Amino acid sequence: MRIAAGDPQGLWEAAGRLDDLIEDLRRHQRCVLSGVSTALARWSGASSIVFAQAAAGHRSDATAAIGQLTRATRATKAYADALETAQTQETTLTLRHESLTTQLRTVQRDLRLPTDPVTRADDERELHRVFADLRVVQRELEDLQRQVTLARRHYQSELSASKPPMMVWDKGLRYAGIGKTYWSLLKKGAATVKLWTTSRALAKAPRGADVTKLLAAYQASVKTLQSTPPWMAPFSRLAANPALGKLGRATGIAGAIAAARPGWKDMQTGGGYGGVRGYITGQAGVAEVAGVILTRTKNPWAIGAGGLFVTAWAVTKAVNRTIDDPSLLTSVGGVGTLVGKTLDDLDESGQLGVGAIALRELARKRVNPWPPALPKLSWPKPPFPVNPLPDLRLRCGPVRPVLPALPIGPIPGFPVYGGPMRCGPVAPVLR
Amino acid sequence: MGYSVTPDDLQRSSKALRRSATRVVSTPGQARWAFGKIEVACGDPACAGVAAALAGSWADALAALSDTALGLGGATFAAGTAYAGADGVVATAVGTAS
Repeated sequence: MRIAAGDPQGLWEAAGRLDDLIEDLRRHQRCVLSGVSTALARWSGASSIVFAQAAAGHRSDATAAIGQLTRATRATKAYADALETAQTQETTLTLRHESLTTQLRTVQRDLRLPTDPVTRADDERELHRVFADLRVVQRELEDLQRQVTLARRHYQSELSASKPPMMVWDKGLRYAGIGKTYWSLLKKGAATVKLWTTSRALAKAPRGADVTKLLAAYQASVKTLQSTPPWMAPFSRLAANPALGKLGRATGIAGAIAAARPGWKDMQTGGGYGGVRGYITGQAGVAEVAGVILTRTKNPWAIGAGGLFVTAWAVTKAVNRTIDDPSLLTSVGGVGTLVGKTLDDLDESGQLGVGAIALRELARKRVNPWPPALPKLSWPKPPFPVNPLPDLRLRCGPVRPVLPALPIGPIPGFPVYGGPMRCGPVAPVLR
Repeated sequence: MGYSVTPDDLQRSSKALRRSATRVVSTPGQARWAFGKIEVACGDPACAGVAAALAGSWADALAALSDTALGLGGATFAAGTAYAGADGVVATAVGTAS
């Protein structure tokens, strides 16, 4: 098998086509600029502003696309060049290796023939020389292999970074959405747990005890849980629909298969590495597949363990990348690329939301049973109805009357929730 | 008529923009071909996988870009036509139309 496999000519052709494409986009940009300037010279009013904005957005998209395509073209040319040089070197070294192997066979045959001691000594010296030359050629071939692997990893890294800018924007939005989910879960999950513990503490409090702090915590939790904007209510009701739940489970299975695919590939191929690195990468692939399965369970600890397994796999990939291209660690851009690609790995295996799922399951376990069974009240019956606590499965339950379950009247200084209660506790995340 | 930009200028410009937009329509195919070629020629399964993914995503992204380009071309053409019409009406009204 060739060390420098590949078709440099094909790569040059592809780079040429990308150059043509970039030129087309540049020409188009100039044309848009000229056309828009002409159109706007005597055109005023609201529609002209909309037109100008659309044109500016279009030019900006084209500029970003040109930048990313230029990066891909530059990387392709550099790789084609490296591959061409490597193939020439490989041909030379392979020919030399074949010649030395033939010489070796000849000398070994000569050594087997009966001859005088002087000729034998010459043959032995020749044998040592051929062996030494062969070792040098083999070392050079190994060096070449390393250089080609490095060039390939670098090219792969550059290509991966040459995604369309529109995708980069989508990814940014996606990460922002995931961040928002975490924030919401942390805030509302903590409020749910607090509500549960304080309601139990309040119910158990002896008659006449000072419960001001407990009530403050209770009211604060209720306030946090009620802070979901009303416009989200229809979405939450839709999310709690049983039919949608079944659809969610079905897509969850398909998602699990897709998420386990990168690990499965590493299991089969060892990530393209040989020796110890190939073995470790293969085992990391096993961990990824196991992690994806574990994160599909209901147990928060199993989900957490699954998340750790997949993180270990992503870290192994990051280490492999760093060994392949140590320059990644020498610049801020390189470190950013490394972090970005590790995040991509985690995202590809569906793990960025795992922490959120584990938190939700932990909150569910912590507040089990929900709603908490209120013990027999030691206080007089409050002058308002004691409502059942909202269903944990729904973010926004039906409109409920007056106050949430409080075994005591309103406290001065704290807001009284006299209006309809629109939203319940922690947001569900459908699988 | 003291126009710094004549209707002819605008129509010429809109034609150029539409021609340019039509050229941009071919870019998704070019990108797909180029990245497909890289997939075949790079000689490394990992690079081939990345190139295959890029072929699809660049084709989609450039298709969206060419849609916007066609929209802009159409808008400029409509503006040019309306402008020329208005200019003709004004020119006729002041008796300078031939």
